[in-house]
Amino acid sequence: MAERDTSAPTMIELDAVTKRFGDATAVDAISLAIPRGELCVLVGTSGCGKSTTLRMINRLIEHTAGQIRIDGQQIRDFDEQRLRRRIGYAIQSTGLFPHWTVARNIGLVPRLLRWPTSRIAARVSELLALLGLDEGEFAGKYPHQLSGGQAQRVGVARALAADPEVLLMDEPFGALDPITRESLQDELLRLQARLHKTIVFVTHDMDEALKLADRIVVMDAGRIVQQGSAAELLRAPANAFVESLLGGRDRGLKHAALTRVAERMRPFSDAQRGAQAGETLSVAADDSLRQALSLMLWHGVDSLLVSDPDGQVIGSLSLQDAVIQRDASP
Amino acid sequence: MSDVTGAPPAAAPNPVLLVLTALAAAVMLGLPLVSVQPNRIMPGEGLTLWALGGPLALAGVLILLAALAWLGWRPTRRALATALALVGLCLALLPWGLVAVAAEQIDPDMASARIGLGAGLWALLFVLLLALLELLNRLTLAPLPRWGLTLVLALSLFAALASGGLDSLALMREYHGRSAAFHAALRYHLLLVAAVVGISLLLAAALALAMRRWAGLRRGTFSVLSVLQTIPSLALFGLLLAPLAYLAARFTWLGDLGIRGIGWAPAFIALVAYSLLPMTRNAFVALDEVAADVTDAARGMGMSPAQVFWQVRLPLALPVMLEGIRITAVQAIGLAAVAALIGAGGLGTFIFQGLGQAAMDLVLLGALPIILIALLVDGAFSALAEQLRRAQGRGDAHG
Repeated sequence: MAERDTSAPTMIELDAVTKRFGDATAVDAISLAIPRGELCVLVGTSGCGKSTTLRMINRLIEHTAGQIRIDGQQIRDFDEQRLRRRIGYAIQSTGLFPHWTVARNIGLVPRLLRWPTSRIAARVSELLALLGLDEGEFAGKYPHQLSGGQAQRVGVARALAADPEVLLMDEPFGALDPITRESLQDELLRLQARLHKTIVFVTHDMDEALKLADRIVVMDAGRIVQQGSAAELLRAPANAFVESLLGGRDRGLKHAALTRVAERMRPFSDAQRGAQAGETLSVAADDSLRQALSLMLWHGVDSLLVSDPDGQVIGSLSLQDAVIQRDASP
Repeated sequence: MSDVTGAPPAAAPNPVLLVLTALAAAVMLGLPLVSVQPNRIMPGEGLTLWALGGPLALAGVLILLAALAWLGWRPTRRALATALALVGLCLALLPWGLVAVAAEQIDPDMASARIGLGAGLWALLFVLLLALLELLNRLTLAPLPRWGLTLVLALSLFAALASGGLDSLALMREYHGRSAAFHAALRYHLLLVAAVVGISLLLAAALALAMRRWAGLRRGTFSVLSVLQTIPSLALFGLLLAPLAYLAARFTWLGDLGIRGIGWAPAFIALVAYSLLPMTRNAFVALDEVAADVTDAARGMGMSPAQVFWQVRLPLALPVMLEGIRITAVQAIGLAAVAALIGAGGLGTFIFQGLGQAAMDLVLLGALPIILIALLVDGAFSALAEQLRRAQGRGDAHG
């Protein structure tokens, strides 16, 4: 998980933004500043105003009061279509056009921006490769010929097509099976490590938020209840609602899932490394503490070897190391 | 659809084909195929296959039917294809059989002697067409061979007609007696239907768009259109007579345009009124049921409202709208015949003249083209909608 760079300039800024539908207030004077390159996840139960907040940023819903700025400019100063073409948009049901091929779907925004055909074609190939879709197999297919995971990849490719700085994602993985969802989450993190977009991601799934977010914004009844990194939320949930979203008594395991084994292990000296040859039960340094604990529980052991990506044993992790955080070494 | 991949090798007998062959055999044995009349008024003498061709012809036909029944008993895909070829051949040869019968039965010196089509021939035609449909359904042919087969049958019929060998057919005698009137009526009928379909499409599109914009209009509009639909056609013509006659008397320039209590104007208005319900309903439903997430994504990507409509909503609605046009066109083709009663012209004229003179062949001269046109239009629009779905890559609706 990338460290939050607080010095990055603000890309999206919400200033006391309110949305009323008739008498009902869907979003109540929320303020939020999202730095450039941050993956910000809005999380909350359905009806908490998270989707409304997202859709106000590209003006699919017009806000009632307050100000929304992108890159310092008020969104109302833009022509709304031109604003949306600058912002990637991916939704849960993908919203792919069923009568267009995959290639044409992906090329939608570039075509709206009147790119030359050759440039659109090149960009579509590039995106298919980026999302791990074979061009020969998929470019000519229609959306109904795709699996859920493939369709959502195409949806993400379409959102990225014109290389927007800002990406809005409304529960993009909500309709997928757990295994596909997880692989697409990994894919998104991989993409984000390369592309550094400013992403606003809406979900009701706290595990997804914990996994993806640089910053989690918990919303309830149209207000922001708490915002911070995953670790900050787990360490100090602001109230009982946030705590219940975080899974109550499972919180320890969720926190463990966010901690890497490398942070807790005892490194070996060169001499110790040789002595450990032959032991098989080991965990990777990049694995989470949760995976390490699971291994210990399953095999009934209280310590594991830790290996680096090359399979070299580089240290050990005891149950005590895993459970109790040592003071930072001097 | 895709789960039925042709019949397995040891398929169960096809009951439809077996029943149809039995029916055809009964028809050939019992019913008169043609009748020979000395003139238009005198009742004709019915002739069965036996009377026409003797034992040899009867035996030949029965052997052919037995072969068909055998193919229907073991309906592998190859057997069905053979049966399709046989049935197609029978249909293509039917007009030429008539040519042969006409040449033998009619004395060329008797200018008014004629051949009437008997009950047996109509029944045979009906049975063969049913068999053709059944085989086409079983074989699920692509559109191209299907249209190719239709073309071959049509060409055979036209060649037989053009050869002059069928001129002594009662139907053809009626046609030759009034060929100019027939062509004028045919043109007029088609023009009327085309104008009705065109105008009601424009009106229905406008209504559907208005209903989408103002939800309050929906109930009222559909109620009015449904009520219009329930008024019997003759009653609607009657209702229009008085106001149109009044308008024509009041504003003479309207009368000069041909807008009177009778004639094309009330027919046109009534046909448009009937067309509006199916057309508007389909247009509205088609536009309205385009998935909301698709249009949401379209807007979210930065398409303008016009782009969303023309590039997304309309193309996705088009197959269902075409269905509405198809229903409307077929309905208008039939109703336009009734409009002949109020002097609107068209092919219906011959039907009512024929009924008045008790000349059934004159009725057929009006009715047969109407049926043919309706079938052609129906087939053409169905094929168009299917083609469109294929071009849009949609075997099934996308969830």
